[in-house]
Amino acid sequence: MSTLNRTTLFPALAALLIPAAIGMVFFYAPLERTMGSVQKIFYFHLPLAFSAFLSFTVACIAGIMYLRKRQRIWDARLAASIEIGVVFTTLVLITGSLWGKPIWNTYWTWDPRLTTSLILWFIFASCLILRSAIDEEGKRATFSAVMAIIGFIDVPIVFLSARLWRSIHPTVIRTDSIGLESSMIVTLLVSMTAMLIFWVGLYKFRVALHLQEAKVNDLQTDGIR
Amino acid sequence: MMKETYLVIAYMAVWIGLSLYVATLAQRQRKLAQRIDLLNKQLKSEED
Amino acid sequence: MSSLRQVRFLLGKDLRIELRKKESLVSMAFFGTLILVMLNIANGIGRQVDAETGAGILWVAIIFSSVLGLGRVFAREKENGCVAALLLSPVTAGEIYLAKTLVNFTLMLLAELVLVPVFYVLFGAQLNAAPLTLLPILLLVNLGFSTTGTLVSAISAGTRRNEVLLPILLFPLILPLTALAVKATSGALAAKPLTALLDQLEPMAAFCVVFTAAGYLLFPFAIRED
Repeated sequence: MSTLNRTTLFPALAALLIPAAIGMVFFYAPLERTMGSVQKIFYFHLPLAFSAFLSFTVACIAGIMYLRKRQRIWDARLAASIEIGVVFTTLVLITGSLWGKPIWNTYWTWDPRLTTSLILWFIFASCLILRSAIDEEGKRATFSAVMAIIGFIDVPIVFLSARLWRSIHPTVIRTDSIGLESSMIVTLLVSMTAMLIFWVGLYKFRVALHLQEAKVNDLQTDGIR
Repeated sequence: MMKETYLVIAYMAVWIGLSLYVATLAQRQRKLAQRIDLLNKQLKSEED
Repeated sequence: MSSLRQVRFLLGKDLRIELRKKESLVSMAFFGTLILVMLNIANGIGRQVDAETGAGILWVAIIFSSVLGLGRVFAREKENGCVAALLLSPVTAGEIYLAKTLVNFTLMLLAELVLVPVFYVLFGAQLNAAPLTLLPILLLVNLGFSTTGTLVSAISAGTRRNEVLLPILLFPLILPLTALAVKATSGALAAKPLTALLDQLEPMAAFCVVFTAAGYLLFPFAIRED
């Protein structure tokens, strides 16, 4: 098992599980009655959304831990989770509107969940811009930690107010009313697991990359004269 | 447009997006490896 | 008690500087009026607006002009190296935060004293003049904007791109507040009573409470220069 050490375990598992999940989506899961084949977007839309939200939760925790401990590892976790979260949320928004177009006949509607994902995307993308604007490591970590925490605090308020600021709710087909068959649930569980394992692999890789870059920077600034 | 088109575009967007991100990270990793090599060489030439 | 005195002292200091130089207030009122005029032209000359559009126009003008004042609150201290002096003095970071929030709240309120009448002059022909129902909405947004904005402007002032970063960081955070304010204002402009707007005013108040607490706790990290 020397080749399958801790760094390659998750990517290897993801490489096995993701094709399996895609295969199940197209060949195993049945067609949904009202929505037809478009509903199959759901099997990767939901895991992506879940992983994106997981990233922002990790970002908030890493931000709090950094402010308390001031250790580089927490900044690495913060940077990794913000970046992965923005990538995943972008994909959630794209798949969401591609699902919405044939079903609701519009790419975009101010449904609370759509609104929340969009505002989350804006907040954490602005965090990335902030990180790119600061060169000093400590300051960059502190500032983006503060923004990640306050951005995460904003989430419940956004969700609550998105339900209030529109008087007429569009008749949105809700995922909880679809009435999933058991084979659909199995497919969803497999793709959810695949996506989470992929997320963990990506996250570990990104954290390690950040730490290595920081160490090389240290060496270049004060190691070699 | 056919409903299947949306499905295909969505899946392509997801996997192209994710692989682009992985490729970006790999590129950063490669650049880092180059920098480490360069530093190694500098260190060796200083020792000699 | 002494904490309150220090906040009042810092607030007095900033307001006195503002009164002597009038740099923030004049540009806020001027820029806001400019936006209102531009939107009036963009709307089509001589065309009336309904309550919902009017509410949106009013808030675009207020929010965009307020960012100007907010950017100056810390930039002024940074330019003269006063933040270090403030931190050395026997005031806590929390007191600085409260004082700066109140400064910004006051500036916004004064700018609105100009902008709201200008708004009614330009757009008010079909709208209900309801200053008393508008007042709580204005106060709540000022409070929410100032508490969030003071924290964010301390962050953006610590970077080299203050003016660019401030709206980029701040607007996503206050988006829920703005959306609720627009909804409530359109109700007020359509002559709804205040009790009918409680559905929007209550979450706005919750936003203010949450962000005051978060800002007070996080501000010490944002202001320290290390």
